Amino acid sequence: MAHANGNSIDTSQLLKGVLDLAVLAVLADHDSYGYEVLRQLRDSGLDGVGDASVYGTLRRLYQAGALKSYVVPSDEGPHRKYYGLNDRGRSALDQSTKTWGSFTRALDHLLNGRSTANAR
Amino acid sequence: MPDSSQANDVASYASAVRAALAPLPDAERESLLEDLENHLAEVASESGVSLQERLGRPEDYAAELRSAYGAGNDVSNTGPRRPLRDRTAALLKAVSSKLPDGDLRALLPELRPGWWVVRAYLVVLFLAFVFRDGSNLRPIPNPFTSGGLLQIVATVVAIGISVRLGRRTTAASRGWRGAVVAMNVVIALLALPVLGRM
Repeated sequence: MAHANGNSIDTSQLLKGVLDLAVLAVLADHDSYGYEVLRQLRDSGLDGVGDASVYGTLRRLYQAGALKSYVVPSDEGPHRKYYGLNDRGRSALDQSTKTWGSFTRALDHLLNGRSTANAR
Repeated sequence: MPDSSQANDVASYASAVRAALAPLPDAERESLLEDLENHLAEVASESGVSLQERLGRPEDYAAELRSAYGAGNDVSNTGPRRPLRDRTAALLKAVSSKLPDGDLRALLPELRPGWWVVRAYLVVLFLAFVFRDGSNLRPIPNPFTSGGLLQIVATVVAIGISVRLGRRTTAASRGWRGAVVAMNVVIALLALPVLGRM
């Protein structure tokens, strides 16, 4: 795993802060189970995300009351524990989306200001 | 990989993860790991390689789980599993590392001669309290009374003895130093009530 070395941004550190939001966003679309959530996150470009991180995050969000959960039996393969957003999860997602928006706007502003300064 | 060996792989990986999370409170661990076996089976069924190759060491997996779950972050500080001796040593280390280097720590041994003088004074003070009239004891005895003069002379003599004893103790054996430490404690304890009366 990469570690922050002061020269470049450590993606895994960034992910840690926003994994809740990413998981909630995946589940906002449709209910899903752990392994599928992981695959969707990776498919959307977050390929540094760890299996254990996603599993642990799902369990924590569930414990915190942001997710509903139910088991879907399957004839072939293991039973799947599906997770989906409940009301609290949806409002957490809305709230976090706003926070994320203002955060990225602030950072974009900073970074753009710097690049125009450099261009001069 | 055939099904039965895959099931074995899942079971052994899951139990290694469980073992690595043993320090967590039981309820917390079970709630975190409730679905672990099914989840691992899912992972295993999608690829031909072993879970260890796919997910890394179970200990690392457990550490990542724990950090994502945010569980028992204070376990290492408050857990009953840690022996008292370890915790005391850790506490001492923490306290001594707080002392500024080469400052206070270096200062403490230099304060020793001061204590040698003080303990001599305290011993004579205690003796004076016992053998003289303890009710009108003063921090510095009146040299114009015979008792007071005697007390001052005794203090000077005691300081001489105490300093000599102290200098010898600094280089002495452990047993001898232990005896002197005990004596210091006794002197301090005896002198406290006397000081309290002045």
